[in-house]
Amino acid sequence: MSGDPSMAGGDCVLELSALGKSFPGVRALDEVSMRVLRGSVHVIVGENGAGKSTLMKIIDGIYEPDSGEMRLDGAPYRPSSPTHARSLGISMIFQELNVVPELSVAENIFLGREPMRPGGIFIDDARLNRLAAEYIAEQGLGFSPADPMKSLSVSQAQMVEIVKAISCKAKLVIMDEPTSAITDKEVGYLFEKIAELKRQGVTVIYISHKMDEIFRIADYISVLRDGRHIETRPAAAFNRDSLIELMVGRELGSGYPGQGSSPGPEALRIEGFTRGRAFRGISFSVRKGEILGIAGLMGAGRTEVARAIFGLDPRDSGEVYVEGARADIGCVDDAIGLGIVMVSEDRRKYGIIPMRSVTENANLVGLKYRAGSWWIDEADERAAVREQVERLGIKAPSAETEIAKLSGGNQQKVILAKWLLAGPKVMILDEPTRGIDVGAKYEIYKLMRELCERGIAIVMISSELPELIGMSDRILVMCAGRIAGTFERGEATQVEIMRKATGGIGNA
Amino acid sequence: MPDIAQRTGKGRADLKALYNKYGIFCVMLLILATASGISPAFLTRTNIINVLTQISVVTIVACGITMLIIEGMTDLSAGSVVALAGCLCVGTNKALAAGGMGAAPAFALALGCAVLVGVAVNLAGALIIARYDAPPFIVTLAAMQVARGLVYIYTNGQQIYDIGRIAAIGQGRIGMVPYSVLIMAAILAASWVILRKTRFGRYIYAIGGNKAAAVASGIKVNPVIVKTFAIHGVFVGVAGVLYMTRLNSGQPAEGVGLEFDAITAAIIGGTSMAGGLGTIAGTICGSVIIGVVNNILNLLFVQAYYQQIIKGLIIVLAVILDIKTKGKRS
Amino acid sequence: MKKGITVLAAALIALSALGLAGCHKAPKGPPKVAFICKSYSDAFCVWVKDEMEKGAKANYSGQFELVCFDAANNSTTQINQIENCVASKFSAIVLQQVDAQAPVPAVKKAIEAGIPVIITTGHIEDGGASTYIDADPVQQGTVVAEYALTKLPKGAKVCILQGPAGNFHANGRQKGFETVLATRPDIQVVDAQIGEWGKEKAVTITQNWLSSVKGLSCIMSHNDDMALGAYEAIKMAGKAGQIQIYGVDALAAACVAVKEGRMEATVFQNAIGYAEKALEFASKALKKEPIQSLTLASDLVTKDNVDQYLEFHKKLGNLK
Repeated sequence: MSGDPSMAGGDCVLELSALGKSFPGVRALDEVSMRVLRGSVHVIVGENGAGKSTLMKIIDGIYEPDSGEMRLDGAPYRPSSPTHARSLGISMIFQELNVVPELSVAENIFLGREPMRPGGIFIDDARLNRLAAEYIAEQGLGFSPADPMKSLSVSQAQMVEIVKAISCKAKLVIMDEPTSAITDKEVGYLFEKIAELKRQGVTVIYISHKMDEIFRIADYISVLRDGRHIETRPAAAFNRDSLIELMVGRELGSGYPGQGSSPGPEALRIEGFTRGRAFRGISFSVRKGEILGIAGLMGAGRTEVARAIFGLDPRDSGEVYVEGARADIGCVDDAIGLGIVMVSEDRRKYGIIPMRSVTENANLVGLKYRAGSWWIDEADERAAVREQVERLGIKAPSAETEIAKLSGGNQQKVILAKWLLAGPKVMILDEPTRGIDVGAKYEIYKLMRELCERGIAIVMISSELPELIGMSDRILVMCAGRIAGTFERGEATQVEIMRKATGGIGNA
Repeated sequence: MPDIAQRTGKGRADLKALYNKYGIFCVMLLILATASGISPAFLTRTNIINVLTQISVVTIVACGITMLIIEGMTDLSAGSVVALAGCLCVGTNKALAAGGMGAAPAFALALGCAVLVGVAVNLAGALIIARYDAPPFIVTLAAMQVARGLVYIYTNGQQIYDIGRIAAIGQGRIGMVPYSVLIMAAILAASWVILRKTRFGRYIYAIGGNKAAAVASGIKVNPVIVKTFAIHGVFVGVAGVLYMTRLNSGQPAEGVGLEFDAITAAIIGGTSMAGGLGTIAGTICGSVIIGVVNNILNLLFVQAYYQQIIKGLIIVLAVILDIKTKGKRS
Repeated sequence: MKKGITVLAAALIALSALGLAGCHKAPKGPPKVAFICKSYSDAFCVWVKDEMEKGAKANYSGQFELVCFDAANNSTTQINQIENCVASKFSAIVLQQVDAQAPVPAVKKAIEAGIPVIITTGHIEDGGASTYIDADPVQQGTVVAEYALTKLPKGAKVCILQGPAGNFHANGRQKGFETVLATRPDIQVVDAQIGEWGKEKAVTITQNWLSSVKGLSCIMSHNDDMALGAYEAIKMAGKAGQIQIYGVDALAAACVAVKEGRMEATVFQNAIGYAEKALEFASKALKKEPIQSLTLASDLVTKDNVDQYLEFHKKLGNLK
């Protein structure tokens, strides 16, 4: 059983006992028991697929548990819907914000519980705006209640969600990876707000992957793994490594697999890639068996260049050479035909066909570029997909399972399998480990090394500097649509890269 | 590490998956069993052949519509195009025969005309949809009007009578089995092969499931969409020939609402309006269910108005069943 | 992948197995006679249907049971119903044809299966395979147009509301109208539009005429529903009483309109005769007695004799 002696007493706001939940083929939660103390920031960590999201959705009333019970302030708590949960004092702020972009800030804050004029038919707009203005002023936010929601940044929208939670008189606010799409500065601001919520006696359950964040704000940390509750302790009782080990369930090495053999001849070279203001004069080359890292801030033009190479977007000018020969890439089909493939940063939008099976997703490209026939040879397909599933360690109930039912890491592996079945020479990986848990990240790093061994050239775009430094043979830094500098392996440090990326001292 | 199948929770989940897959098939069997239980006339050979003949046109149209809906498209013009293609077929045949052409070449040309016009109308719509990224609902709604107008112009608003021996297509049979049932079976088989056995079929699912991902996977989306409409056009053309030859005349005002019957069959059969999901086997079940329900209600002398209500209720039930079995998708 | 085939194959096998295993059980109870009504939305057809039901109950309940179907004015539906009646072993089929040619193969199949088919209020082009009870539409058109000649002013402008294109009755009535009107050269037939027997379409067409035809003096309609539609349009335009309206069928509503002067005349389509004859024919056919097609005459209904038809409708319960 999980030992959390420090929490035996205390003022417990939410108590979970022996919660269980199954989905077809997956036991998502297994006898999870946990106590959350009033006014604390309780961080829940675990790999993707560990059951965090399921647990939160049960607390928020989206799912009903198969077994076990919950108590809120000592009373049995069985929410039937998020609205019900909110009326009982539990508010959830989702990873993807639940806002209506066309409505105003004030309307979003009061969505579904608008103040009404006497008679209850018409919305009391004056009161709605006045109340919203009060809340916004209270929180010291710099926008007006009449602003349309779509004019707000992600971070501002998050603040609106927090205001919404506060205005509901929430006792408990659940935040699901709130920092995945905001800047460092905004993260700081968010944490101030969390501290303030805490002072007001509000409890925060916070889900995150990011180690530094966790230790900055956590009072207590609970670790989930494979749907089980592993440990809950005060934050001070953990350190970074022990936490990762608990999450992954095994000891980790340095975090990056060792470097392989030295790179071979040139695989891909681009010259003078330019499109409007998005990127200008981008030239680089990557050799067989080499990993070229591309660093830069959001909006530096990295993804745009990659998409242009891959034929997804047009370009104004620029040449592509594959293995030294000039190549004409007008569309994605051309690129794949030349052995260039790209794993997108946005898996849900450009990667998976959510309702189709693992097999169909994995073999989507291979049908044409591996098998090459108009007819589907099902035996051959099964064998090819099975090989990839085994090689990449894809965990799925069966090859016929819908890909949407897999965890993020496994989805990403299926997408990698899809591109591997196209027989690539050059792989462009855009944020290949975004939203993936630590264990799966390491497996993807290992795979990248293995691919290099086989002579595949890799271009890796990443916002995680340690990953770039740990994996890349060379790092290219982009800033405002231009190449701001390059580093050979061993030269790069996080500070130097950031300096170039922010346009601090450019010597390129 | 490779633990596919190891995490499969046995028992309830499997049963659910099974039901998920065969649910509509079970419903169909249930309805067949009920029908034969309540009416002695249902299980007669004549009646079974009647049912199959009666569903053949809708089923053929439903094949193409299933592909289109899976692809995230739709077609509202099918009924009008059936009328256009059918009238053109019997009209052309009549004109050619009157001109002294032999029966066989006249048949062939007339059939060709029907298929051609089916393909042409659908192709025109598809090109607009592809070129301007226009919503298929609107474009095919427009095509519905245009095709209906064309058929009135072609026939001058008059029925075409005395269509001659071409009527055998809709009325003749080999042994016991009517041609229309054989043609339906052939088109079902072709559709099934296209969707399950070809790369093209996979692309249809991929485009309907996630168009952006399909583009990013190197699938040339627009050609696939255009080709799907063209295939559907062939089916609609054939359906038109069967329809009008069965009516022993060219009826320009007929075929109204046929597309909705076909869409209904597809949806009852589990094709998702959101795209990416659906099977020909399901559509067959949907079509048979509608046909048998219509038939049994007729055999029981239930009035047409109640039949419509019952059809509506079946659609609602099918949708609820679909949502219940497929569950909330994350 | 194989599962799809299994389902497909199973579905087809199940159906064909059912078909092959099908045994020809004779239905229980008294013999059944089907009446396939053209459309329950058509007042005249429904009148015939009501007469059939009443007559069957009153005079033939010992011999057969009458079952009514609605073809909803759709040829496909009508064909399906004929086929289903054959499968259900009906002893005779009475039908009002939606189309003169579309149901021919189905009717022939029914006759081949030994089921007599009687067409009422019309006939189909099956070369005499079925027996029909029909009116002569040319006579109907003629009788009403001849009356109109006595009422129309000099230089009258006439518009005609037509039934569906190619329809036997519509064509006949049109021929009757045209032939008679042509005998007075001063009368001008301005336009003829297809109203498909329907009131709503007639309203639209008439509205267009009211704005496009200056000095319109008369609307002649192939049936009463359209004539009543024309009256609605004229009333809406504030021209009630200025334009003469003629119809055919002598529906209850039309008789009232004639009585109140909203319509000039209509023609009594002998609904009761159609129903009585159809039942008589069915009864004879069941008894294997010979039956022969016949034509029923239609009478002109004007203000002078409308009372007797109103009485008729009252007795039938069509009017209070």
